[in-house]
Amino acid sequence: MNNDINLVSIKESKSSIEKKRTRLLRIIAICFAGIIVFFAIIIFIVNTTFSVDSVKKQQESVLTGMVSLKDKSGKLFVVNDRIANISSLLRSRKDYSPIINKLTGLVPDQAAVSGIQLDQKTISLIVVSDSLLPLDSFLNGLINLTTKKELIKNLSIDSLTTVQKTGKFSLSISAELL
Amino acid sequence: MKKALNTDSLKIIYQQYKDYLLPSGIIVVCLILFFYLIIPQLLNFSDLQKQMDVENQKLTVLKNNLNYLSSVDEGSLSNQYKITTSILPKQKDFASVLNAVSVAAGKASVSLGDFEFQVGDLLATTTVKGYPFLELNLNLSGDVPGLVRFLDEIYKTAPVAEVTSLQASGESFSLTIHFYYQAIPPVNLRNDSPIKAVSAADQNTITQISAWNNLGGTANLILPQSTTSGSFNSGPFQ
Repeated sequence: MNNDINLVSIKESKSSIEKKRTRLLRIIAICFAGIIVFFAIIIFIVNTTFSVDSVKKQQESVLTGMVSLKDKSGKLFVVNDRIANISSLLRSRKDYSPIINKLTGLVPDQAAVSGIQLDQKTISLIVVSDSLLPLDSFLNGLINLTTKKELIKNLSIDSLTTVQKTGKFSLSISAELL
Repeated sequence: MKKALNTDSLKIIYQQYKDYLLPSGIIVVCLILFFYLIIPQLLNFSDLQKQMDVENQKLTVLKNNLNYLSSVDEGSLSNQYKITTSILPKQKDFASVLNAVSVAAGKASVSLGDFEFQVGDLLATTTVKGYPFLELNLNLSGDVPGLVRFLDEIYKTAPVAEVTSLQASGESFSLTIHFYYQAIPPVNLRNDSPIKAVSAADQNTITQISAWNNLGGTANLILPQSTTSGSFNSGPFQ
């Protein structure tokens, strides 16, 4: 049988191909629409879950609650600032009372401190006594401190004098503070 | 004639392809939606996520600030404020300095002599260690242990002080003392920055300084009563 003269058969096959094409196109269209709906739902969920506006609204409500605490907040700021500055000053300021205590503690009972001069770097002491022995003992104590590098360094004797009228010896020393 | 032909041919084409029109239209619309709406939204997710993180962090900081401020005891904070501003005043406080010296001398059992404030240039502020100060030259009389006691007391008396020089001759002492002060910096409270809580170390400092003398400032200053040097007539025509 020759197919070229069988016109009915060709028409039927053309129609079925068109139907298949239409069906395929519809399926593709439905898939596309489905994909779009799927993404739209996802975007909606994400936008609802991660809503910046809702977080900002929460922030505003917290800020409203903090208005009444502004005074406390200001005081706390000042307290923190003062403490930081006070701590810094307490750490850096020099306390002379232990130095004077230690150095005058080295003066034997037979001698007395007649003069002290102290600034941030140096200390000068004048010690008087009837005898040279207590002054020697005092000097030895100072040398000991200098050797141990405790409180002072660079000890020097400024003068050792005797006052004829009173018969007292006067020792003047100066040292650099550590 | 040509127009009618065109209309007829269009009708024929429509009849021939009408089954394809709706699905093709849907596909085109879907493609447009996908490229112009879906993809930009998807690309925007990472930015949105970052923005959300930032905003959530701000919210957390704000909530923490609110919780901390709500938990801070108002009385205790006011007390800390009073103590710290007594110890480091915001300006030159002559009365408080005099009271401090008076209290320290009293506790050390030494006699106060002459004193002199070295105020200096009122416009230019001199600083030591970055802090402005009020310099006081002071004379004391007593013994060396008394001087040591005075130094101990002045170091734990408000306002915070530092002895910078000392001269002793016999039983008279001459001291130079710096009393520090510091202006309160402009309070710049940013809502999104966490409030610094008083730390344990700060708390220790507060406990240590709360035992200092003269925390009431001039409240304890005992001034001599003024004498009745004259009288006034409330009713001059009587």
